[in-house]
Amino acid sequence: MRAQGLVGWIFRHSAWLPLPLGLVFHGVIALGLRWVCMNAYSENAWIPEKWVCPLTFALLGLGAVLSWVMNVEGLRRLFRDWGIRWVMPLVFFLVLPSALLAAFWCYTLMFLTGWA
Amino acid sequence: MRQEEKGRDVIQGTGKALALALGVWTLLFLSCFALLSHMTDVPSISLSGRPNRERRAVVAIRDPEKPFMQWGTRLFTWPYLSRHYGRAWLFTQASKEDQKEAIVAAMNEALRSCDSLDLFLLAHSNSFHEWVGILDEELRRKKLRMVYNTGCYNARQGETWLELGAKTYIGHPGNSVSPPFYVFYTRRWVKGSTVRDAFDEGNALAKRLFDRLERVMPSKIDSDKVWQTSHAILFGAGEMSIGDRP
Repeated sequence: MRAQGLVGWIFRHSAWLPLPLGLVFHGVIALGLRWVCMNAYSENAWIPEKWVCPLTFALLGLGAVLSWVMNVEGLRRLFRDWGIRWVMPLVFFLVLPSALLAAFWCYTLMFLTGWA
Repeated sequence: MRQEEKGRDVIQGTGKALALALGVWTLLFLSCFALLSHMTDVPSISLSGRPNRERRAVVAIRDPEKPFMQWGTRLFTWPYLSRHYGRAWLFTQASKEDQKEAIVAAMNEALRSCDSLDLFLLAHSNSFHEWVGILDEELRRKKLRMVYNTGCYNARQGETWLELGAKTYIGHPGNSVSPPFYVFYTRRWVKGSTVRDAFDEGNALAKRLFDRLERVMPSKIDSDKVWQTSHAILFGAGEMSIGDRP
């Protein structure tokens, strides 16, 4: 079950790491979305229109997957080390927000792609 | 030996924690999903297409706006139109007269090659009826079907559009906040509701959204006032659905 390599190393060294990692991932995705938007429809736009939807949906899908990974990993740590001091903060600051984010990315993706 | 047993316990414990995490995640996810659906719109997944897809065409026009708005229009609009129409065009303009020739050419091609043409005019107050007026009269009277116009005060063009050949026209009467209606209406129209049903539901859901926003921000939004200028008005026939021929 152990994650290997760099990711495994990061995850083994701090119970809190899913939180900053999640924030960084979501920040990068948000910047990516902004980049697509500005380069598709600003004055000097160069992204062809046919790439706008695929690029955006790929980023939203990545957001959904990363939220899911962060969420499950946070919960796994919670149940593995039940009772330690950071259980409640972990629930409020990691698990609930990331579940909401995962649902948000998925729902947005379904909504925008016409599946929902 | 003891070390091996300990190792096995750790693995089993980790497996249990992971299984529990996945179970709780599923419940959390479904709760959040239900909350989002309640706040916006209920998903209605339908894998089967509407009949006559290859025989209908659509042209959508997004007028000059901030990049973010144009991006949002494309993300929401294009997947629906490209999936539910045999021929689909979405033009995003950089200025008011931008791509006029290409837009008129697309409408001409749609009228020549398909049985029906729908128009989505996703633009501020506009005069696109003048562009449609130069199309072949016989073809547009026969094939122009549903026209939806988000433009402020463009409900007043209702009779003009019917005279041009549209079988049904939907517009807004005042300085409107039309995107909520557009989203609710379009999702129902492409999934097979009649114009009338999609229109009624679109209006009801838009009003519900304005009411909710007023409850959250009472000092910023007066739902009744917004509603007076933003509700949609239907002209012409309301019984057709996307799969019907005009």
